[in-house]
Amino acid sequence: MAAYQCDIVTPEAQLYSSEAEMVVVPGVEGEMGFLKGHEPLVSALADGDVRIKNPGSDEVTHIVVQGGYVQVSGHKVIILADRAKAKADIDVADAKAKLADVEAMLAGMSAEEAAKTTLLADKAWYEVLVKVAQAA
Amino acid sequence: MPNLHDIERRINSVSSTKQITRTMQMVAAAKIRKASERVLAATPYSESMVEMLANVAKRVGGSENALLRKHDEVKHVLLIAVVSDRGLAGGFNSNVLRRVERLMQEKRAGGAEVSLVACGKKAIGYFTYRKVDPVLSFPGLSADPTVEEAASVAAYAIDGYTQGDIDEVIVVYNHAKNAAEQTLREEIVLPVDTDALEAELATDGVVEEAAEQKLEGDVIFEPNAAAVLDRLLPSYVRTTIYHALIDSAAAEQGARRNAMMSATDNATEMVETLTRLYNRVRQGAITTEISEIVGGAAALEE
Repeated sequence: MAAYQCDIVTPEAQLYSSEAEMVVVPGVEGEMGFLKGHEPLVSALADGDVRIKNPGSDEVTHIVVQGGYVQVSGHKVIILADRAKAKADIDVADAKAKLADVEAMLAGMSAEEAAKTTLLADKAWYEVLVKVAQAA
Repeated sequence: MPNLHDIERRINSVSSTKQITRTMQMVAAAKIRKASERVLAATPYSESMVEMLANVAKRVGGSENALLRKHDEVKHVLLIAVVSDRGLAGGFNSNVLRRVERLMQEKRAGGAEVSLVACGKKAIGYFTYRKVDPVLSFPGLSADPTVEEAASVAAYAIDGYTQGDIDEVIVVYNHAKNAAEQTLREEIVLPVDTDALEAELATDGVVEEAAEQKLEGDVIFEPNAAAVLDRLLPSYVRTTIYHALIDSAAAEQGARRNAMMSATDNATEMVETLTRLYNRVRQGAITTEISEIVGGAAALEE
């Protein structure tokens, strides 16, 4: 099947840029898959797992994203994410430890104080990491 | 005539200063690369973000979103001053600080209240001395700004803006035009100006071309265009602020390298002049001594 360009970028760096045959993303209203020649589309993404099927093989790359958007045009898929990490790079024990830390810090704060920090986003991020890593 | 020893001591002192400035120059030069790599790495994200936002905003068309709506009366302005934690970078810090202070006076003259977000120790010091209390301050940030810090500034600005406590948000920082040159930039972060976004796209020839072929005609928005816009805008504000921070970090190293380069040059020149003076004084002393000896010998012969 025909391949097209797929980029995943975060504010810090371009995480992934390669050819893909099919990309499946966690849209806010359910998962969506894109093949070449898809109608132009812009969507907000839920936190979760992006699956990229590499052309010419059955290999699938998993990348976890948080706070993302996807823009699809006929020949390119761009995923913007606040944070992203390849599933292969996730250290489950580390993510769990960080999650526990963040929860402990949140427990000592009122909801108002917590809203001023990025801890809530951190918590969601580690939860997603753990969830995706364990789903495999 | 100055004392030989005094000159020698000054030469020594100037050369050790020169050693320090030369080292700082080299350190800054090494850091420029790292900092500009970070700017480069962040560029694809902000470019795609601008492009996506311009596309969405064009289709939504209205100003239903709180962050797009201009407030009729500007009563409270939030200024974000982005400087460094350390000095010895020429006019790097003072340019920004002076511009911020002038903006403050202008806005106050226009009847608006002004509050300040200080990024970098130098801004905190400068404004605390002038009895301006920053609402948020981030010391120790200029070396390695993170997305999280940008996010907390953005969260404060967005909160204030949607609740009507803040009517305008302006960020002032140094843009690293290239490794040797910095330009002062002043950007209005909020309200987000979608016309300016499109203009920005248009000036960037490559992006414009790409954008035109990319999203012409019908575009599917999920869940809908307004909802996408609601989520995109805060991210856009975050990106703008993050970009200002890393751009400023790159500019700081460039400015420091320039400042240290001219300091090193000046020191070299000074050592040269002093050495010349030293030699002249030494030669003068020898000449005096010889003429004394010759004079004494002549007196004995007679």
